[in-house]
Amino acid sequence: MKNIIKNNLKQKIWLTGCVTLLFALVGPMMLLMSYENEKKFALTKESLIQAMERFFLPNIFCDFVPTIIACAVIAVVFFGYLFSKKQVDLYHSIPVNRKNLFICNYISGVIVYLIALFVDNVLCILVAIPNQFMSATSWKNLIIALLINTVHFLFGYSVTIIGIMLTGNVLTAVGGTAAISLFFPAVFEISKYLEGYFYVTYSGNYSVNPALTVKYSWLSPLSSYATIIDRCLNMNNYYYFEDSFSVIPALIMPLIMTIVAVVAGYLIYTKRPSEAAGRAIAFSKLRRFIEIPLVIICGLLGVVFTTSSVNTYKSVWVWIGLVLGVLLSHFVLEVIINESFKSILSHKIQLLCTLAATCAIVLVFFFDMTGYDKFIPDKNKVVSCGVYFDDIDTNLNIMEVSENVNNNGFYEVSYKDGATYAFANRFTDAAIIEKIIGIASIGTTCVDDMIEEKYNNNDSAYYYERDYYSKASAKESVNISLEDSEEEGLSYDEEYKKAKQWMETNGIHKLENENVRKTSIRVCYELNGGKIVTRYYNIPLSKVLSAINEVYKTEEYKDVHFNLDDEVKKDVIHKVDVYDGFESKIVSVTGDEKDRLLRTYLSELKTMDIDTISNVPIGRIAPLVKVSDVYDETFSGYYIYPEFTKTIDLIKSYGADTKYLTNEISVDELISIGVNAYNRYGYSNDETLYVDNLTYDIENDAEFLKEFAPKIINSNNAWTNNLLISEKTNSDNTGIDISATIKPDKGIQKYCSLIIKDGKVPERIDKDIVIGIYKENR
Amino acid sequence: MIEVTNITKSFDDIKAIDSVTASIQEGQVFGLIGTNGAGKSTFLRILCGVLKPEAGNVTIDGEDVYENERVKQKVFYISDEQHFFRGLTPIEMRDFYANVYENYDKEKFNTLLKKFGLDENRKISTFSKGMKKQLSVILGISANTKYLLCDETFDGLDPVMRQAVKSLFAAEMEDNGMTPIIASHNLRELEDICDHVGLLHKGGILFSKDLDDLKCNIHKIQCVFNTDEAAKEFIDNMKPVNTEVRGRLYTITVNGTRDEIDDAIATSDTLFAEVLPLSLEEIFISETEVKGYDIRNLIL
Repeated sequence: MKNIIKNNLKQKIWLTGCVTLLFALVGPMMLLMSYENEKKFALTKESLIQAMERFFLPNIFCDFVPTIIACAVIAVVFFGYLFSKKQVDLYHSIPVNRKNLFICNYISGVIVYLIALFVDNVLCILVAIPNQFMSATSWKNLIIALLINTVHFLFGYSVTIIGIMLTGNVLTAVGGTAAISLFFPAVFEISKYLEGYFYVTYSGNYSVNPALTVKYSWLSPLSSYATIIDRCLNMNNYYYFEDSFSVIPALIMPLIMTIVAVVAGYLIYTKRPSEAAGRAIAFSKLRRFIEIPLVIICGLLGVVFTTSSVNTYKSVWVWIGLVLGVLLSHFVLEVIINESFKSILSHKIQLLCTLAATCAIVLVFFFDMTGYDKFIPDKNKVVSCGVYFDDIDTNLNIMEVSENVNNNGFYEVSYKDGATYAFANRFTDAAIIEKIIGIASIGTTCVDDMIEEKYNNNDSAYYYERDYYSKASAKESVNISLEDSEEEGLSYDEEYKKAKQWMETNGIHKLENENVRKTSIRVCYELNGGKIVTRYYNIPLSKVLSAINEVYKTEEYKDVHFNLDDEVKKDVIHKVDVYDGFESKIVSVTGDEKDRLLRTYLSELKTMDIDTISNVPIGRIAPLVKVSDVYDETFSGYYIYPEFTKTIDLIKSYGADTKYLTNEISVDELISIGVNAYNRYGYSNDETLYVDNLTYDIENDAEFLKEFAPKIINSNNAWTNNLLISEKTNSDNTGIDISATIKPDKGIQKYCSLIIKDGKVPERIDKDIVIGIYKENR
Repeated sequence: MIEVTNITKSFDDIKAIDSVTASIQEGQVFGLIGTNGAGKSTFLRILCGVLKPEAGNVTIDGEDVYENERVKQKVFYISDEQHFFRGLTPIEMRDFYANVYENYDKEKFNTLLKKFGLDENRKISTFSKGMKKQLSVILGISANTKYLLCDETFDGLDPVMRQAVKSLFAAEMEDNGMTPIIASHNLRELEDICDHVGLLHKGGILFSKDLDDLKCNIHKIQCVFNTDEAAKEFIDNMKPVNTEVRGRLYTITVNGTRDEIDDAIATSDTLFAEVLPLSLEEIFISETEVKGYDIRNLIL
């Protein structure tokens, strides 16, 4: 056997050279080029070394691509003799049994790759040492890359060999290997797509329920390799949501799959008939078992292609994609397998059965036969439960501070996706679980509306535009027939009356906002057995607000939702930024004062409920973490509400200017109020008439402003929870945008947007709008 | 000895070998005759363990050949289109075989290569078809195996080389006890070398006989009878395989030993009679006509 391996390597020396060249060109060259680039940006030698250490980790360009190419090339070179009758006659007639032939060729291929990898690594080390970035971490990362690359070469190589064993020529071998490698990822991705397409409550994947392509990435050498590389390079990626990523455990499944693939390849080889050389498929009896699943997958890919290409949910595209995908793939496979274009319509019954099977799969999704959208778990089977409200506290970024300082002596801050964080920190309390299930139950009652909304939203904008313009031209013709009389000398009320008359004649009226306020909610269940299920609901706010409050007001929810507690305890916050809606002020407090402020704030934060946050905040407090000598990472803003009296008092006592830490508008400070009316009057909700720049200034409209000022609030801080605020103030039904200009503070004018507290537009403004529209459009 | 028992081999719907039984003794040259597509190559590939029969079995010296390294040490297969690794020279090809055949004789190879006038350091890909055939034979002989399977090996060889190879075979048979099994569609080529022949047709073996036995039991008589009645009587008695008449000259092919035929001639009323030897082709034609096949359509 040793002689055969030696002979193999000697004969294929050209292959070893080519693969080595491929790695040598890519790896060390990229390293050198990266070093030159990093040198320009690194502030210190240490930061340069730290930057270069990452380049020893495996990456797509320098490792994944060359290794996958090597898998395919090496496997074809060493096992490609199976495609040639002449070579098969030689190899199978000599006194070497298949087991030894397989082992010798397999090992020869591995040696070729390892030689190339070794040369690549040596060259990289030779680049790093003189430039002094071959640190301990660099060595560690190099070894990590070596392990990952070797295991995945073996995995990919073994799978490619299976592809070769099952086929009889290069074309079908490449296709077959691609099909084996991509089969499971394709199944998972298609399944995910179809769920997202057909199920309105589909909520996607999070770290707790990673996509099957990630969770079962080890079923394919390509997805396993890509996933592990991604994990290495993005250890803080919110998607994975782990504190650290350990290479050795992650390589166990790929290694097991490699062993399985090697054994499978060997067993197939022992059964492979020598006469398969040159044929498309080596085992003709397996043809159906290979063709049918592939055609089904292609049919489903057809559905994915057509439905993702058109911006509509019209079901006709589903069936067009399905039929085209099935037919085309069946035809192509028949031509390839039979090596004749005449066989394009072979196996018609098989084609029909495959078409029926594919249709059946799609129909399961189409009619939600599994009850996906209406799923509500039995509360006794729920181990833990998480919830995320898409429209509540939307400003909040989940930030995590590292346990320890880094090499530079600073803490590191990472951002997490809110839903991902919430689902990773699920509640185990039975009472909260029951409340969340209650919210989901309300959600399931709205599924039919969600479905209707989704499938009715198919008309093109073109039709709206066409209707609009046709009515607009009708409007013009109406206008033309009116007498263009002068309004000079008319009083304000007469002008208003005339304007009202004109509106009535032309069918212009005050618009009602037909849209029901809806909120999006995501829930996550951990069921007995560890299964994680997530769902998404879009529910009318009024229907679910009370249920949301039942959860929101609990301590448990606040502990998870506002994860400030840990960071306060860690004492990583060194400053606090207070924002009053106009400008930020750093509160220059240290030690106990800072702690006291944050703990007071935290205690008041935990008293909030939905009603509190339906008010417009008066400001925002943002803790700052020092992450470098020159840079602070800011936590997202935590809002201060009028009820947070203790916090406000403390801020005042620390000397921070709290003059504008209020929602009230002082009439003494008002310069003017501006009104734009875009959605108040029109022919319909899609054809509105507007007037802008209505201004009421203190010089000319002092009395009006004095009367109006107590009815308005500064809404500069209202860009979070504005759904709740709108629900409470009915602000989006006023159809106007209103803003204020305030007297200079230290020489600078301030501007703020406003909300009318009770949602009632003053008569004066309404009349001015009517007159304005009349004048603009008559 | 190679024992083939009732082997069958199909490729999809095509039955290449159908219930073939044969026995190949050591020390004999076994000739396997058949037209294109008869199943000769398939038969040889089964014999050397490349193909596995669906039914039946093949044993060499009592052991199954398929996937048996020990048994395969006794067999060298020269296919009709031998594969040579790209870019290799004869010496490198020799080294490849020397690594797998225990008894490989490199010196013999070098000697034979010189004898045949082939350049040991020239790339095989630059050789002509005939030169490659010569090289295949040299590689095979140098393996020192007990059985040498040759698939249409003499095709592509010039007459001089053909004779040289036949001499080589003869020498190996005598010196080393080698048993060649030669498949060909060319009867004339094998006539002077084969001891035993088998005829394959459409996957089945029509017959398998010793050439001497064949020749001993069939003769051709050229004779002239004194009377037509004497001729008719002779023909009725001898029941010839084939009769040709040109004027008064009768050419009659009959089954029987030489003694039997001499006795028959002595008792007949002949003016002139001569017993002539039959060529292998003539023997085959006679034999297959008996079985109902028109051999002229089957062989060259």
